[in-house]
Amino acid sequence: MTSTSRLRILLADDHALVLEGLRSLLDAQPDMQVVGAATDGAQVMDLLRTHKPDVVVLDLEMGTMSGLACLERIRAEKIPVRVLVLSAYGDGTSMRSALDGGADGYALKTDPPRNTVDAIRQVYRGQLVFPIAAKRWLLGKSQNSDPRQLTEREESVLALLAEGATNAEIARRLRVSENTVKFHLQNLYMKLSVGNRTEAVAVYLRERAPRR
Amino acid sequence: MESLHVMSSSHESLEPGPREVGASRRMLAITEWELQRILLDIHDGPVQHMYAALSQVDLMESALDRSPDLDPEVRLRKDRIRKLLEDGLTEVRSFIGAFRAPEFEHRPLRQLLDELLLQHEHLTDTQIALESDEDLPAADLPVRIALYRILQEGLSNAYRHGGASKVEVSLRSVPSGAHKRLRLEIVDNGAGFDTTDALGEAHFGLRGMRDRVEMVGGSFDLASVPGEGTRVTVEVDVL
Repeated sequence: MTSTSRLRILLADDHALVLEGLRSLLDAQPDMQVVGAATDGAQVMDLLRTHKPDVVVLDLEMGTMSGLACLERIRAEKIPVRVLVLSAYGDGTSMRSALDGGADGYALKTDPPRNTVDAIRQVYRGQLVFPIAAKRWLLGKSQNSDPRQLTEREESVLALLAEGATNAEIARRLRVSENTVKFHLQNLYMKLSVGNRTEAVAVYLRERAPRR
Repeated sequence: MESLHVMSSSHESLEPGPREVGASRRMLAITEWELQRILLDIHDGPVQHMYAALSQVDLMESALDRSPDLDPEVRLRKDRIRKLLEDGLTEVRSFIGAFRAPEFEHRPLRQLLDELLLQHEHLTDTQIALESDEDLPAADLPVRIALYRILQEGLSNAYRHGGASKVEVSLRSVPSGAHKRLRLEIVDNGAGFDTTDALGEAHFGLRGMRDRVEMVGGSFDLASVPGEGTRVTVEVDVL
């Protein structure tokens, strides 16, 4: 792989040791290249404009401008970059705010760094990457023990999907972020054993649509 | 079941005045603040260092792969270091990270406890049943903090010390004269233990539970039988 086709990564973390370690580790990957490192949110915004990275790895707990504030700016200014949040905290509140803020993924500093490396590749490919076990936690516990049973929210998403709504429209109608919609969709597909929205709609029309 | 009953003074003749209860309730908020401070320091310090150290181990691994005439012991030691660091981080995630405060101010008690149970189930892969009355009286901030931390300690004990496979939690509204009272009960099928000296120096966690209950003027009851399990019952008036 030539250096021009390498994944361009911007690191943002106010812990010098983490920056140093992660930078060396990523630069040692054949498909990755660290194009900049920031220690606060303001620097992140500058470096994003200068270097136009593919992925920014964003620490949530930076000093001057927090990672979340930074994430909001990136989304508000529609900067085309994938955002992987990297945080020491794995609690539901932190993950939910990252998801709602428009992060493409969430990696934990309490997991080994190679998981972070994998997560960078996954978010670059457009996957929404969150710790697997956090899914149930983020979306709330299903009242029903039947694993195929959809939650009330998933039912609403499916019904809107069947009307032909886009993710953005569903997000607006249900007053949630687009990422949350994607999350619901992933779960929905899994529960219905389908691979995409067309198949999901087919299942809905066949088995679940209200009869007229 | 052998039982140890500790009634806090508010239900007996030594009833503290409103000033004392007010002060101890404020203490609870201060304790909570201090706990958060410590958690922040752990996540801002040791976690960052361990994560950075693991990055270095990964780099070392690549360097070792490029060294053909390596003493096999070096690789063995490297793997051992990696394992130790990863285990350290897992411990932080499972047992310390879980103590991060939820938004106590903005959430009703039922929701806080629900989220705690979800979090615990996810971290420990155990099943917990929660039963609660539909119309629970609203609890003020110190009571919410106290019951949340008590449940957290109870679940942690059931899992770590008791090895329980099943835990039942109930939250009910019980009559208590002019006041409304909440009863939280945590019952597990774990190893149980001898309750003699259960609130002595060796049982820091249990004492912490009792102290928190006392700070909000409630009662604490612990019953346990070796081989059969443990039941913790807490009652507290809501203001």
